[in-house]
Amino acid sequence: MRQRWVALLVVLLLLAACGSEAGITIDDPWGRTSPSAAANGAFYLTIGNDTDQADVLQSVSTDACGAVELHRTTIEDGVMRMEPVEGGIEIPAGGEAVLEPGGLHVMCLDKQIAFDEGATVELTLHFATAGDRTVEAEIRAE
Amino acid sequence: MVKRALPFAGAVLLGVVVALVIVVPRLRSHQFAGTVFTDPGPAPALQLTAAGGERVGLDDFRGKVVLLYFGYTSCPDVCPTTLAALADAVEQLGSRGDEVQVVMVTVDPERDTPELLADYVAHFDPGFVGLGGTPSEIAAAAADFGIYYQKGEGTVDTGYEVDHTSQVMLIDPEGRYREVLDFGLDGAQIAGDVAQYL
Repeated sequence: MRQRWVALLVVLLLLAACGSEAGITIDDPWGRTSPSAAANGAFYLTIGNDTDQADVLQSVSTDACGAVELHRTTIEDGVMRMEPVEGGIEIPAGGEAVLEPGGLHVMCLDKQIAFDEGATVELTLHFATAGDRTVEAEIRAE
Repeated sequence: MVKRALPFAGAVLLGVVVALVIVVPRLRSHQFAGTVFTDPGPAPALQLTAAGGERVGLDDFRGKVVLLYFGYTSCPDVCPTTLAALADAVEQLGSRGDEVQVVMVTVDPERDTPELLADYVAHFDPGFVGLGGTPSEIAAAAADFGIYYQKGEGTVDTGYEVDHTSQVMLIDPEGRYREVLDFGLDGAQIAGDVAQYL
């Protein structure tokens, strides 16, 4: 009797492990706290792709921003430039895309809410293959 | 003979230990995180407008290390990251943080009024100062410090971005322009450099 329970537990654990590792994963979505004086903000996250096919983050939508764009910051000779990412952000097969300060980011134009410490913002990520994923981004200082 | 040599050897050993523990670490020079000028000259004066219309120049902060940054409040990524790092640096300096003045000058005078700037910088640290001015005053201030900025496409209504030099300039308590800090340094690295001038 006990052996059957153990077997069931093992099967469940295996299923859970498969479930969490397959496909697209989104890790640590966050945005920096900013004063209401700041019209715009940014969100950062790491997207993992355990499938054998590349996927593309095409766009992001949220009620917290008047508009959302995928941007890349580049710094050359000390000069910061930002530009929209044409065609979305690719997440390579078996790899990841890291959105972080000073690099790729989800730009939030015309903030609709205060980005206060501890607030959360619901983001819906639209992937070419994986479809839509909704995550809660935490607003924090760093 | 042996009795006399032992205290002598002990004294030598003690001397070596003292040298290793106290003297050697002090001789090791600080590794600067920023780019240090070998022949630092006086920083340009800068005369711009703070909230309430007060005219403020770098002379007003003599006796403090000034960390000067050109940015703008609608900047979503690099400017808040930099200001957060500067706030962290000031905090890490503890009581000596009082001897540091962070100054942000806008590169977007059309949208950033001195009042808006004051609100913005206070979010990171209530001691930070934000300075604005007329477009020609800002252009002159940027030119004095070799700061590049270029407004992108768009209007005040549609919104636009401003490409700009993302470095922080360090001016010592005597008003000399000492070093340039690149984007991406953390609070500890900035605090380490600032402490060299306090």
